[in-house]
Amino acid sequence: MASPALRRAYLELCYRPVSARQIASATRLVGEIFGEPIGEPDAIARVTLAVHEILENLAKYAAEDVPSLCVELSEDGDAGLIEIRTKNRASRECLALIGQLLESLIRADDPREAYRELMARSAARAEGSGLGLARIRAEAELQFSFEIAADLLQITAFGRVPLQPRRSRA
Amino acid sequence: MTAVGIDPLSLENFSIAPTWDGSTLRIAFSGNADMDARAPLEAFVKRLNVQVLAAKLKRVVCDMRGLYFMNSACFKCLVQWIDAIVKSEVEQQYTLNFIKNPKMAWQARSLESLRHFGPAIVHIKIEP
Repeated sequence: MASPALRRAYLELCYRPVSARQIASATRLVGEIFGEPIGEPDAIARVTLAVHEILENLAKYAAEDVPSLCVELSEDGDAGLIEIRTKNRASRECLALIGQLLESLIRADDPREAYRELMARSAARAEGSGLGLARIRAEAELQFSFEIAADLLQITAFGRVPLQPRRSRA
Repeated sequence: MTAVGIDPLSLENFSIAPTWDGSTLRIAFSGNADMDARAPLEAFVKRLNVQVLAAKLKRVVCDMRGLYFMNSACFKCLVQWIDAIVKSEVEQQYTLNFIKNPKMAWQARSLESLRHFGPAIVHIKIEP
């Protein structure tokens, strides 16, 4: 039996972001905690970009409840596996739209091209960008899985990141 | 067109400072382009595009070196700006030359996305 992946860092935040300042603080916190074991600035930027976009989505679309955000980094062979999980309630209309978008992003053979097409559609739209999740897929290079049960939405953005060797304790 | 014609944008955590470098208009972004910045940025970009088209400028330099982060809602404002340029008459079109900060890794990825969206309009470079 394979041994469970060794967890290198884990952070769970349960709050409903209501301001840009709160989102910036939480994103900085993730960067500081996960920056150390990941090490590479580009990979850290991918993670913080994804977290920032996800927190803004929670601020905009989560229903009046306390959503949760978990960020977990575990060892995956020589590299790391980053998982950013959110759980929140949302309206039926909102869930239908998000589910449709996530399905298309998961299926996209070329995430950058899918992102470009979404940008073109978004440019013509007055309200909302609809680009946050596509940006996570294309720019942060994370894949998605999701589950909708009644009004509860769970999204996981995940992907491989580099991992620094473990530091021995002094 | 003179520098007086373009008002800077100054918010608590985000600002845009237009300056002239000879006949070149430089727009310096700084701070954090977050959810509070979207509406002012959208209005700024729309106004700026009208002014640049009227002045028949051929390029605008966007200095992103002081920009800590830009969220997708603000990013959409840049997408709409590029889209508006592309949809202008060919002789009116101008280029956007983005100066990126190599120390902010997200900029390389996001600006590359803009170039992918408007390859004839968007240029990216590094300046010391």
